[in-house]
Amino acid sequence: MKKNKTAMFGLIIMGLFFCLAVLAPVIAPYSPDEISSAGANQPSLQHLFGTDDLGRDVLSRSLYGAQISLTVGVVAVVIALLLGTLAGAVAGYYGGWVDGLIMRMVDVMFAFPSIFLILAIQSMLTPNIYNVMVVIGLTSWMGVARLVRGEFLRIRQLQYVEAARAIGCSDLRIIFRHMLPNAQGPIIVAATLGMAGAILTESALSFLGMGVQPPMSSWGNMLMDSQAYMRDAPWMAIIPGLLIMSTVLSLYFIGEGIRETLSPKERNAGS
Amino acid sequence: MIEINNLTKKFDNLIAVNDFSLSIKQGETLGLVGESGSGKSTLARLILKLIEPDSGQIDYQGIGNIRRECQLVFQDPQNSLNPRIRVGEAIGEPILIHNLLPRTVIADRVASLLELVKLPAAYAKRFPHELSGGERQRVGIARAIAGEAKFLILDEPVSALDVFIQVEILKLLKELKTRLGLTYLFIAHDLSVIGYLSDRIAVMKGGRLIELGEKKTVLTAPREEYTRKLLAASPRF
Amino acid sequence: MLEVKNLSVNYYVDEGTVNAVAGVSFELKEGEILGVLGESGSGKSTLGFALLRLIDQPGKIVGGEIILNGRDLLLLPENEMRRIRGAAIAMVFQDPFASLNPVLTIGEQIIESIILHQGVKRGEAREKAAEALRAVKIDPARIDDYPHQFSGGMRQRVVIAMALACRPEILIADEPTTALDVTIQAEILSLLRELKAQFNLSIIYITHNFGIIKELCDRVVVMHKGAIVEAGEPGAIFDHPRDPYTKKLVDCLRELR
Repeated sequence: MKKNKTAMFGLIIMGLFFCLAVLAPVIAPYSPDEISSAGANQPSLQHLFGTDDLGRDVLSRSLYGAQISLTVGVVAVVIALLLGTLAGAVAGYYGGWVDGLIMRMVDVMFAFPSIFLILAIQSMLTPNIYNVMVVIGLTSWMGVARLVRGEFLRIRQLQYVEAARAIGCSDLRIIFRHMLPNAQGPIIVAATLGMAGAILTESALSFLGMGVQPPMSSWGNMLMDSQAYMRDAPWMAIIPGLLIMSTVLSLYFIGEGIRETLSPKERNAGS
Repeated sequence: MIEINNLTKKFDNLIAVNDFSLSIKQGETLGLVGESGSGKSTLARLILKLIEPDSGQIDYQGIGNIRRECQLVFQDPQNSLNPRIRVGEAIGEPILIHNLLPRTVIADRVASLLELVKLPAAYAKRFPHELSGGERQRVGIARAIAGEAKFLILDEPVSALDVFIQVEILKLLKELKTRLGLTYLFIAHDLSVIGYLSDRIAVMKGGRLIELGEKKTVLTAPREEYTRKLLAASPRF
Repeated sequence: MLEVKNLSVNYYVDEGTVNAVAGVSFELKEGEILGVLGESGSGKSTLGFALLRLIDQPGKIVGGEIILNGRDLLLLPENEMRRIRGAAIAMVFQDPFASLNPVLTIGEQIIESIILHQGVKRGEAREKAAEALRAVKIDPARIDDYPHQFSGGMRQRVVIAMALACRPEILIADEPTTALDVTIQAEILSLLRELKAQFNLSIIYITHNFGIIKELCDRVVVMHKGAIVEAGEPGAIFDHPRDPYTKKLVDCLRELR
């Protein structure tokens, strides 16, 4: 199915990152807070990615940072998917004023520039990893909602949905058993791209100090720490930057790959 | 069995069914012929209560649960089955949602239904796209009778099929009718295949009933001009 | 007038090679309506496309000759073939809405074809288009209407008018009435008969419906799995089918009676 080379590449990278994140406590040479050298040192055999300005091992911080970023990515996307799918399915299935109401809510949410909205919310709370995940999820469900609604509008007209009604299926059963499985494709694509977006947003938030707080290491706040040392200890910025970039790119590749495989098949299967 | 009285249904400004009255007798096959726009599909959905009329009513005698006992066999076998649901589950769904049998024995009932429509029991595990058009139509029929329906509306059940398969499906429908004591409303768009199953034939145009009579009469000596036109145009031998 | 010898078309797909048309040979005489009868998958539509060399990947014409008035069409360079398409041989398809561009008036579309093949000026082309509409019993005043303003049956007439605008010798019709009501179908069939008489048009009518063939066609070839299994007059074939497939077909049709 995945004859797409870039998608496979993305998949391998993400798989690798996930494994490394899970195994972080086992494979990290140092603890992320451990001060194991004096000041910032270049990458060496002892410290493969070098150390940061406080003498902490960048590799270990990156591994634990991977845990943070990937967790945030997954949880935020799950929240967005749940909300968005529910909203989109109800809007698409019932139509009428329900559809109108939900779509207006979507429009309102879209009208806010999300990053400012998130910053505003975070400034009212004490930023930590938990509310970062929830807030990102709560502000990114709209795209999924529109997608799912679109799919539902399309599927609703298909004969097998009418057949399900004719045999007496309840609305709930029709939505969950008959329509949702046929709307999978765009949802999966939205999930991968959404995760990429969530990771970027978390990194931005942590970079601005509104996300994951030190001493917890996220790639974003590692970038924040590295600002003053761009010239003297560039690896402090390059490493987390590269990691963020490769994660996001890999997710994009996977998403695009799925979208491509799904297009002709969806047309045959779901319609 | 089903008595339709002065049924009218409008969609915006279009009158789909216009003061329509018809009786369907228990145990008969009533053929309903109508070209596109005649309102026959709307009528079918009104009878099944999938939509509500603007005026008029329908009386159901001998039918308790309309949704379970009145079923529809669709025209297009490709699109009327959910592509992601296995054949066995699709057939068993009516049994499941109307709680007719405990879950554990549904699979057996599905197997006997498959046998009834002359499909191998192993097909229960397959997906619709793995079956041919004719086989899918048989699954549609099995699904329609799974809930012990008494009245079936056959909405152009063979027009999407090749001639050889058409005959097989029509034969199957005939057999099932006698075996299970069913009543059929057979909807078609021309007079070519309707003679095979029907006892009486009704002709519909513009939402109205144009002609109604015994099969032989309508096919050999129709009263109405439109029916004559239809007869002349329908490829028959 | 048209002689097809041993025509073969293959489709190369993941699962293997499909012999869509396998060594088909037949003749079409002037002013004759030839029916091509076959089920779905028999290769009848592929045959129609092949006659106009419209077979595209993953299909390929792999053998045979298509001789039109002495010239083998399969040997012609593409630009000459383009002159044949629409002008000497025209084709009408099943779905009229798909063949008509919804954003152009029907007049525009007919005129385009006329200018392309006959190289006349706009004014003259417009007159010819009006004539074509008249020939298919459409009011020429509707020449500036859009396709969506016509019913299905009328759209099919427009398509036929487009096809006939350049006075082709042969018209290939691929299931042109399958999507239409039966009474409209009868009108289209009678229209085709008139056009044949009026313009001495030869028609190849492709369908799965024996009834239409009996109504309309002078001769018929029966296709099954890419090959012609029987040929002759429709009535004769129905009464005395020789090939086992045709026999089965006729038996089924008799049962449905």
